[in-house]
Order: sequence, then structure tokens, then C-alpha cells
Amino acid sequence: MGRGRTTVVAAFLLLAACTGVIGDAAPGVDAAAPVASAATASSVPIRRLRRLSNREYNNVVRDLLGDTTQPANLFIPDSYSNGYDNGSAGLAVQSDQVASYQAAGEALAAAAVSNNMNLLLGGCDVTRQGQAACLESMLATFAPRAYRRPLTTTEAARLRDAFQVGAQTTGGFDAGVQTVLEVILQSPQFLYREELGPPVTVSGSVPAAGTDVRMTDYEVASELSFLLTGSIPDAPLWSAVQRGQFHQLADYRREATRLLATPGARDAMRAFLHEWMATDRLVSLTKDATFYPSFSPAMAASMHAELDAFFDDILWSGSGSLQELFTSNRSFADPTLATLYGVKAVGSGLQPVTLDPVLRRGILSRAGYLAVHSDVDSSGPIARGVFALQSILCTPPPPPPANVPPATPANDPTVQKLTTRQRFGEHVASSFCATCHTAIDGVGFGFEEFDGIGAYRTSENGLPVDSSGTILGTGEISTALTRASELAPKVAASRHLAGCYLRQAYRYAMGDIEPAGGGVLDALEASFSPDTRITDALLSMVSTSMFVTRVSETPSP
Amino acid sequence: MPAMSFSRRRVLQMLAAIPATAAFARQLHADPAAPAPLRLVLLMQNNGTQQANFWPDASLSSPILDSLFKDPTTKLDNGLKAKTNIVKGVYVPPDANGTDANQHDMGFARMFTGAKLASQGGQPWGGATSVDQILAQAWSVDSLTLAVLASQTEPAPKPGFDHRESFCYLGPATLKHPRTDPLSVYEYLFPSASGPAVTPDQVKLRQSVLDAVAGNLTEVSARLGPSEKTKLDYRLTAIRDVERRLTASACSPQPAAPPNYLAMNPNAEVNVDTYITQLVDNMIDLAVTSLRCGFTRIATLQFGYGGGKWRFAWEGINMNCHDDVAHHDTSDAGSSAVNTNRVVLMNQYYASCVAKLATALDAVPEGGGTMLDNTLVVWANEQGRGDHNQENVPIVLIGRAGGAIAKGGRVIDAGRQPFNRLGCTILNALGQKTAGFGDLPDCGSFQGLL
Repeated sequence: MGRGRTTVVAAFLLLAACTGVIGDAAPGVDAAAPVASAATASSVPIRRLRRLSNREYNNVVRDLLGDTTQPANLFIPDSYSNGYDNGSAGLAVQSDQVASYQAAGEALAAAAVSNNMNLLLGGCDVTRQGQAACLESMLATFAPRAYRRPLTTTEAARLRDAFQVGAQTTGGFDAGVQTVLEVILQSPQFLYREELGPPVTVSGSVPAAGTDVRMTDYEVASELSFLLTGSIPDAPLWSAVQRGQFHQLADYRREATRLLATPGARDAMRAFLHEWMATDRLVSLTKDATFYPSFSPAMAASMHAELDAFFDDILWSGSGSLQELFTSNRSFADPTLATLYGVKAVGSGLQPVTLDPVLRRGILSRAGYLAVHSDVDSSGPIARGVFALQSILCTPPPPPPANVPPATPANDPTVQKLTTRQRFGEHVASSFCATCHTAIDGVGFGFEEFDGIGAYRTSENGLPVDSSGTILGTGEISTALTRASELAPKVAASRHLAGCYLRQAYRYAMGDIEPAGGGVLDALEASFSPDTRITDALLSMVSTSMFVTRVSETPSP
Repeated sequence: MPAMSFSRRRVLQMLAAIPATAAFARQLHADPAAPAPLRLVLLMQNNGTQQANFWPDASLSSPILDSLFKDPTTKLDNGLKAKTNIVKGVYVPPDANGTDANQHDMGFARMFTGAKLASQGGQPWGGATSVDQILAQAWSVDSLTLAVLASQTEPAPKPGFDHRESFCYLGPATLKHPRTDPLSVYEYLFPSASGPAVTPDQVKLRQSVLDAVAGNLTEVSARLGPSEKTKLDYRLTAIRDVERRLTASACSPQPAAPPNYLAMNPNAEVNVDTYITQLVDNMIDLAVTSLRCGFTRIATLQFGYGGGKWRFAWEGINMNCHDDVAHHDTSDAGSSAVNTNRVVLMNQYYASCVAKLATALDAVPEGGGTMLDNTLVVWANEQGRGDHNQENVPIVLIGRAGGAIAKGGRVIDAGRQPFNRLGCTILNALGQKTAGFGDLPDCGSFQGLL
């Protein structure tokens, strides 16, 4: 749901030069002036705040304070309102989080004052330079890094006041610094990413409602670093912004390319792909032990680690393309997964393995993916079919109608000796259901040779498994299948996949749902094919005016 | 670096140290001569009722409703009948905006928001602020949002169905997460029950931090448009609620702490059915306590996920009661005798839960009556019938809402009527006058009720 108004935005592709490239304007240009010049209809998000997701919070305190305790793991879970953990709409703050932020802020501040005072004070030596100078050093160095921009006069004054209360109440400089840090860590300037643009334009006016506003360079730097590394700008990027060397499209390209080579990008891309595939759910996945006694949290962790390594391999050692992500039979297995996959374990820990290409091609055949998209006690062909159509190909089936005729219960004696496919056979046998389920089940049944934890099987309840299927309503890839692995190359080469991936990339990058009607995404899609690097889509987003533009809402009363 | 000390207990110790402001002290120690505050309780179940066994006869008796109106032990009337109105004919129409939701979502995400769904990449979220949060903002209170979500068959919603975790919305597509662990709720309500005392100096410091944070919030808020400003408003309300918890010890009698389920089984609130009935009972107790003690004026309780799959082993069923029972209830008269009986048993359980809560409120004297007289308890359902039928969704209203609902003991049957009237009725009954609700701005309230 794009909440911005419809406007005109130019797509400035990396691969296709257009007029009006970001940064053509010289520094100092009226920041409230429209930055678009030509056009495809699109939607610019409103000027907004984006709360740090729990993942981002952990990354930020690690990079800002060197703290690796991951305090946000105790926060309430994030809502994935845009399909990802970084959506703007879903990231409000309720009382549970207020309490958590306070507790985490106190603990982090106490630890930092004990262990990292030099960092907090920006290298200032209290003994040599004095307390007042070192407080000012903190406000001039550390605090802007935490707020990700220079402080306003009132923000700085507020922190000085907090220092005084802290120092006087418990009688010491360290206590004052700790109080300042507690304020910083609970403040919206820290907890939210600002996408507001300057308070006033260079001409001195407040941005009028409906005006496109270009975000400040500091804000754009945060957008870029959170997108590509899931955290605050690193030292080189921060330095570039401070020096005024982060204002042009070339600057964005330079920094984006550099950030993609950092370890933070590896983690961020893992997070993005896990969330797209919903395999981030492996960390809390449970199964019914009656049906899957071998499944355990340790096995789920192995599956998650395999996918981490698989994503890394595709992105950073392989071609980095969608095509490879959906077709590769290279993977990684520890002894637990080697048993599940039926390959020889070559040692402890994850080791490179080659999976049987007849059975296992691409992400859709990995155990972690299959386990997530299953029921607790069975393979779940409906769930697998719906997810593939909706989230991989962006061709969602219509919702079921009212007055659903029932499937035969799993514990009904008449079906207990049937396969899952046979039990759901009513879906396509009934004309009432067949309209939708022919498409849903056609894909889902193709995965029936994998059980609810992704293990290969040839029989179920003593009967042979039928994994033939069909994929319908997807244009050039509509076809009959004998098993899921045949789906892989067709999906991988499909424009549906490329287009759907771009939509997913938009949702992750912009923290919102793409506007209806295509617009800028259509322009991006024209230059993106399944064999383009996955990361190129994100780079393309960065190079659009929508990445740096927001529209003013009507001011609140 | 040394391990950081950060735990739930640490949160509670910190909360205990924050001073209540004068404003909150006034709210908590209100003038005894002042009218009692109005309150709202929303109870939401899934999977529909059994139509032939729900709608009552002239004496308001039916196989399902008898579990609401009769004491489970003595089988005598519990007194709720005279304070109850049952609304017939409510339907939830297909969402013209929704090509990506089924009837569970229609009922769950729309019932208390009144709006068309906010379709987000194929996931149907509620499209507006829910009625409980509208009132929370109007009353400047934080609601107590509770749920029991444990389920052996469905430990978590499938990908794309996270919206079924709650029916409460802070705004379009902005879910309010429910609390699911009774002990942590208890410790939140009664922070003095855990942790050592905090020194006055610590209190002073924490207050100064809060003041500075509030100043920063105000400064940023001034730059925002209405929808974004709302996010910070919720945070300010939440901070005030945290402060309010400080005087929890003033409430007497303080109930006993609920069990530590997570210590018994880390998955007790995830994929284990064993504790569901205890969890529900604990949550009912906490909701009643929270209202009785004045910690909040709004409590909500959700029985399982939207489209939930409880097995109801405690009722002797032990099946996936979504797929294998509710879906088989294919006509108002029922289907097979054994399946119909299962649907009745499920709904009798929900009725008994509603009865526990309502009778507990009715046992608290307030003014010239009871706390229930100043409360509106709403028992709603995501569907009318378990096979995804959205007609005749049963709506039960208990309490007099401070006198706005003068009469009880009735079935309000004004023919087929849109679900939006429920939200409109709630707002009007509780003092927020409105002509409509959600996407029907002129729908009015349930006829003949207020």
C-alpha cells in the first residue's frame, strides 16, 4: 500500500541514462523543489519515520557501541507489513517496546561507560582536556553518529541538561555521560530513521503539503547503508557525507559499490533473501514429533545455516543471478543435512556438497525452504503452491469463496491410508474448487516428493507418491511437470520471476508496497532479466529519484 | 566485553522506578463522587458458531448460550441474561478491495476496524485503526491487548498470514501485538511484585531521561504530517502507561501470580495445547484485574489465531477443529450429528469463557451497581458459520455501558445488517458519537439497542 500521493517520478537507471539524473543539481539547490523531470507515473512515499527493526537495532548497537549482545532479541517481534522486517507502516511503538527500549538503553549505556568511554567521548582525554570539553566532544562526535545527522541546538541543549542531572545526582562525570547515552538510545532520533528532508527549504519556507522534498544527504546516506548493510553509515560513508562528497548520483554509486563489498552487505542480503523466501522462520519452526521425530531446533539451525551459505555462494562466489539462485544444485551440508539429503558427509560443520540435479535444483528444493512451507504434520501442497504463485511469481490465486466444501479430515479412517495428494484430490475433482485449486495444487503437488521437513520420499502411507503437477496462468512457463525440479529452470528463466523479484526488492528497499500500475518498476524491469545480478536491482533502486524523494503530508494541527 | 545484564526482570525493575505523574495519580485516585469510567472489553473467537444451536428461544436459552447464562456448577442462571443483548443478522460482505483474503481475514481484520482491508503485497491487514484503539486515543489510555495463541496444529501463522496474530490495529496495516505470556503481563501490571526497591536517585535520573526523550519526541513530531505524528502519539501514550504501572501496588487485593509456563515448557505458548484452557483463564483474570484496578479501561482477548486450529482435546474432540470440524459445518442446521456436536462443544467453551469474564466484572460493586454496568463486553466471531459463511455472525453485547444500553435480555433482530454497525454501536455507547464506522460512514448503530 503506497501511502504517498501519485506523482511523477523519473526512473534514473544505472543501465539506461535519462535526463534529470540525481545530482545534476548543484549542492544548495532548493531542497523542496521537485527532483523529477520526466516520467513515469509512480508513487513517492510520504515524509516519514521508519523505526529500526529488531535486526537493525542489533546491528546499530554493534556498529555504534561495539555491543554484540543483541538486546533486540528480547523485544516483541516485528510485523512484516511490507513482507519484510523494515516496513514503515508496521513499525509503531507500543508500551511493551517502550519498556524494552528503556531497559536495553540503560544496560547498553552502563556497559559502554564501563568499557568504551573513549569511543563515547570521541577520543577526548578528560584528565587533560577537562570534563566540559569532553562532554562537548561527545555531542560533536558520538551523538551525531547515533542520530545519523548533526544535532539541532535544542537537541544538544537537552543532552547537556541530562548530563547535569546525571552528574549531580550520582556525583560524577561518568554518570552524566551514562545519562546522556540513555537519552540518546531512547530518543526517536536514534530509534527512527528520518526521511523528512530539511526543516525548511533554502528559500526559508516550510515544505508545503503535497510538495516533493528531497531528503538530506545525511538521510540518503542512512537509506543507503540500511538498505545495503542493515545498519548505520560506516566510517567512510559518514566521512564522505560530512565532507560534502555524498550528493551526486556518482557518489551514491561509488558508496553503494563499496558497501556491497563489506561484511555488512553479506548479512543484509542474507536477511533480505531469507525474508523473501520466509526462511527466516526457521529459527522458531516446530514440527509435530509424531510425524517428524528427527526434526529438532538443531536441524532447523542447520537448515538456516545451509541457506546462509547457499545465498553467499550464489551472490559472492557465483554469478549472483536469480537464474542461479533458482537452479543451482551446489549447496552445503553438515552431517544432519547430509543424512536428510542422502549425500556423503565429508566432515563436521557445513561442507560444500553437490545435490542430485534430478531432485534438487535451486532454492525451492532446499530442505529449509520446504520445511517452512509445510504443515506441522504433513507436506502442505496448498501452502507451497500459494507461496510460489504469490511470492515467487507474483501471480496470486484468488481467495477461496464462502461456504467451502470440506476436504476429508486427516484422521478420517477412509483417508488415513491415502497420500496427502489423494486426500486433497477433492480440490480439483470438484468444479466448485477446481477453478482456483487447479492452479494452486498444480504447483504444490509438484513438491509432493518432499515431506514436511524437505526429505525426499517415494511413498507415503505405503502408497507411491505422485509429484506430477502443472503450472498455469503464468504465461510462457505454463506447462505440465513430473516433479518440482522441472519447475526450476522454467521459473528461473521467467519474466514473471524477474518482475516479482523487482517488486520484492522495492518492498525491502522502500519499506512499503509498490504503487499499483507499475510506473518506475516497469522501467526498471525493462533492464532486468533473470541473469542479471540480484544486487543490481537494489543498485537500480538507489539510482531512482524515488529513493531520495518524499512528499509532504498536510501539516498536523 | 562483559555480558550485558538485560532481562525481563530488568525491565520490570526499571518500570518500578519510574514515578507516576500527578495526572496519572489523579486518574488512579479519582474523586469517589465522580461517575465511574466507561470501559470496553472485546473478545474475539474464530471459525464461526453452530447456527441452529446458538440462536436462542424466547427465554434466551440455547445449547450454546446456556453456557453463557448458567453457572457451570449449579446450572442456575448467573444473572448475565438481563444485561445481555444478542444481535442477529450481522454480515461481513466480501471486500471489494480484497482479492487476497478469505473469510477468516474478512472477519478478523475488518470486524473491529470497519474498513476495507489494507492489501499489502497479497497480505490482507486491517485497513484502519480498530475501535479499541480509537477509544484508547480518545481516553488517553493504553489498552491491554491479550491473546492465547498456542496451537499444536498451527504453532505460527503460515508465511503471509501474520495478520491473523491480532485484530487490534494502531492504524492501517499497523498491528498491535498481543501479549501472550500471563506472567509477564502480571509483572507488568504489578512491578513491585518483582525486583528490589529502586533508590530515589535512580528515580530522579530515570525521570530526567524520560523528560528529555519526551522533548525529543515533541521536536520531531512537530515536523510530521498527521499519519506519521500518530506513531509518536502512540509512543507517548505508551510511555504514560509505563508510568502508570508504578502505583499498581495500590490496588487491593493483589491477585496471585499466574504460573511461569515458559519455565515449565519453553514452547508452552507456541505449539503445546496442554495449557490453553489455563492460559485463557489467566488472561481473563488479568483483564478483570486490570480493569478493576484502573490500570486500563480497555482490554481485548483473542482466542487463538484468526482461522485458528485448536484441537479442543479438553472438550473430548482432539482434532484440527478448523479444517476437520468447522469446515464441515456446511449448513445452519448442522451436518453429521457428531460434527455438529463438536461445533457446539467448541462454542460452548467460548461461551463459558465469556461468562467467566462477565460474571467477574459483575461481582465488583461500583456506584449503585457493578463494574459490568459501566462496561461494554463484546463477544464477536470472525464468521457466521465455520465453512466460511459470513451471514448471521453472532454478536453478543453484555453490560450497560454506563447506562447507554438500558435494557437487556433481548435478541436484536432488525434483519440483515452490515458488521460496521458493531463499531458504530461501540463508539456511541461509550460516548464517542458517530454516524457510522469504517467504510460505511452513515451505517448507524444497531437499531433499538441504545
